[in-house]
Amino acid sequence: MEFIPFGFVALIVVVTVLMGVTATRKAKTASDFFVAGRSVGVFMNASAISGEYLSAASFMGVAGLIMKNGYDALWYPVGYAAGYLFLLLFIAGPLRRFGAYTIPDFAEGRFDSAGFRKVAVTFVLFIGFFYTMPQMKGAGVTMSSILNWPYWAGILVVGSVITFNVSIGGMKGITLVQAFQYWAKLFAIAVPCFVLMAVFGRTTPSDALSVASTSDGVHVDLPRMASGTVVKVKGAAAYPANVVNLPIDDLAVYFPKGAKLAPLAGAGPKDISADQVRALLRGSSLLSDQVAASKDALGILNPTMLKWDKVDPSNPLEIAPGSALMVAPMEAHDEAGFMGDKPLRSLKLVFQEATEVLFFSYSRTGDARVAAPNAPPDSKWLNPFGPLTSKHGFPLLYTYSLIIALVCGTAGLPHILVRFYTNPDGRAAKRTALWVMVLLGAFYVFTPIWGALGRGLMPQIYANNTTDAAIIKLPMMLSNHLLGQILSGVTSAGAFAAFMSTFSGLLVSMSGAFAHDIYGKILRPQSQPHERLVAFKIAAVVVGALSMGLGLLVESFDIAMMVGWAFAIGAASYFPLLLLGSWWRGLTRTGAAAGMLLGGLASLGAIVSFMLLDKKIVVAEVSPLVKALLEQPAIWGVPLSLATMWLVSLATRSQVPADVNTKMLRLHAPEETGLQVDYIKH
Amino acid sequence: MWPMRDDATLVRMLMRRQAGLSLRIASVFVALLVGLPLLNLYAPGIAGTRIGGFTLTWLLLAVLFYPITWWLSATFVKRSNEIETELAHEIGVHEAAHPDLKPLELALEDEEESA
Repeated sequence: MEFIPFGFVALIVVVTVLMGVTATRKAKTASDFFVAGRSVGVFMNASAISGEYLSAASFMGVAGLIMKNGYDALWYPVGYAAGYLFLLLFIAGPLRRFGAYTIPDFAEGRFDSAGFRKVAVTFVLFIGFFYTMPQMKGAGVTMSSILNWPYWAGILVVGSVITFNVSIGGMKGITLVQAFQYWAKLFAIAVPCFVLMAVFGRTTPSDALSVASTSDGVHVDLPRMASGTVVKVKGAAAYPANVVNLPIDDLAVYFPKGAKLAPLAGAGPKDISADQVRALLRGSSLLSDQVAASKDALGILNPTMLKWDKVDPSNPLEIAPGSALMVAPMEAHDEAGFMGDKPLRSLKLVFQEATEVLFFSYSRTGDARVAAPNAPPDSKWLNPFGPLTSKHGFPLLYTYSLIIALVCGTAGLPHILVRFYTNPDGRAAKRTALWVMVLLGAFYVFTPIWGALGRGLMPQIYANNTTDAAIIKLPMMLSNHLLGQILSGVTSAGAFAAFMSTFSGLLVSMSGAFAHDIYGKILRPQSQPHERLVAFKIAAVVVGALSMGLGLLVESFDIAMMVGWAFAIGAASYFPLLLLGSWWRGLTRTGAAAGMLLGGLASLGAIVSFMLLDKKIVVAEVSPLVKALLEQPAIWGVPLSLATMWLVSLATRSQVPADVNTKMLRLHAPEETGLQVDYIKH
Repeated sequence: MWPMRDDATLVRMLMRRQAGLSLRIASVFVALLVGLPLLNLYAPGIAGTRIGGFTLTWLLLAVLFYPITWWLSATFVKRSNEIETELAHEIGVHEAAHPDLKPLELALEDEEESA
């Protein structure tokens, strides 16, 4: 019945495209768009801004990240929504008054420097590409969840459709379409959530935290899934998403199609030696009779337990189809040297090729429930400073750096600021900002509920690291299959609305940057408008193709995390520019450019280094502190950028524009005074 | 009417009033952002108080944080508009202020080409 979710997805795509085409026809000239924007009410405008803002990261990624990491991930939705407060307090008012619609416009107008515009434009591209990667991943994950398409196929089809639509001009920042998208997304995240809560009632979310088995399992605080659950695992290309941390518990894993694993020794969380693995494995084979009993109950044909004493844990391990594997419980740890203060909690299996595995209880039959691999225990999931922020050992630093990135980054996202000023006046703009925060909060408040539902109802998606698909797959848990498919269709359509609106917006702003700023102002300043239109279309196709290519590389990264990185780059480049540009007369173009380049590029470099290290493309010894600072660079990137701007501006004081006070009046004088009129020269 | 139309003095006064308000609200917000992780770290007992299966700190961050920021921004919008009215009154009102004059031509052109 996969056609039902697909039908919903097709419906939202068609409705959005048609609305876009109709609205584009109605707005004959570009100024129509702006004037229409200016006459839109506060509520409509706030809906439109929220519609553009809520991306795949918000729709799928945040729920997945909360499911995966628990409390720490709550900072993501809070940062995404509350970041608007900084924007409102320091930047929205001045920037709107200045009359600039894009940050490059602001950069050029504030410093009278066309050259600085180019610096500003490069960051539209950096931030844009970082923001499109997670949108692409969202498309791939959704299509593989509902139609079982391979990851790349979803990206290719969805990316091509949106790119084509943008390049023929069918999708612009139309207020009505964006507003519709917000309400579609709110409906899609809220209604299935209510249904799931009503059906599963008290099973979740509170029981998600206490489904602990009372049996002989040693992990009393892991979420549990039905014995016999089949999970598709990924191969080496998806590292680290191909890792399964097998809890040492009443849990065995059966390989119906066989598997290729990396060497077991040294793969554990505590660098276990080959001897230790051997000792653990000796303990395991003793239990093969019980495994044999379980396999009968599960209908597994001919399982052969691996002959552990013949396995060399230092070599890659090839497992024949039909084999089963389990790791002995605590008693065997004594021999391996793990008892005492440091019991081994799990054995790390690193899959080299994609395959299917089945998790089952080796000691019980019937409706036994087994611990879910890769799931953090309740204590870590529920409490602050869990797996997300503590992974490098500096949880407080990581938390603060993440907060800075999200809160400052919202004020530095080019495609958001563009939409922000379609208001009749300053007061309406401020009320709009307030309503945006209310609408975003109303949306984000559902994300932790989805995360908790996922942990309670579908812990098997921890095992293959697909928590990003939680919101698509969870409705399928309903015993009413039809209702489950319909609700999954609703959430899939919401996810599509999310990455369509965001990817289209990004594609328009990035292609615009190429066509107008790079082609039109740098490469061929003498080009005609129709030539630039052609350049725009070519740029849209090229940028779309590049985005799809980048999307293929990031399957193993969490969607919300990648968006967090786009925020971190924005926080260290645009945020300091806008903050100091609006409030400090002494800022010069050289100072601003130096700060943006240094802070922004250093943050970008840090994040790319972290991605390469994390994917093991580059292998290097890096201290945990450095790793934490590379992964979350905002805590040093933002101060670095601000300090550079300040120092370089002091050194180049002569560049302060002569009419800086007039510019400042335009930024800060209330409209009623009419003082801004003094500045209108363009 | 502002007596001397001395832009530098006028700008300083305008910015100081608005910045004062922005900084006051921001300091409350920053105190929350800095304070909650510290509460989690140094008073895990309080932060971990169980409320309906979850904990106090979950309730704070997952639910209550939103209305708190709404209240902060509502306060800001209200106060900021009052300040603007006061300033407009003090400085005097020029006649030419018309919203249609505001958008930069620059932005309009760009949009037209990308259409």
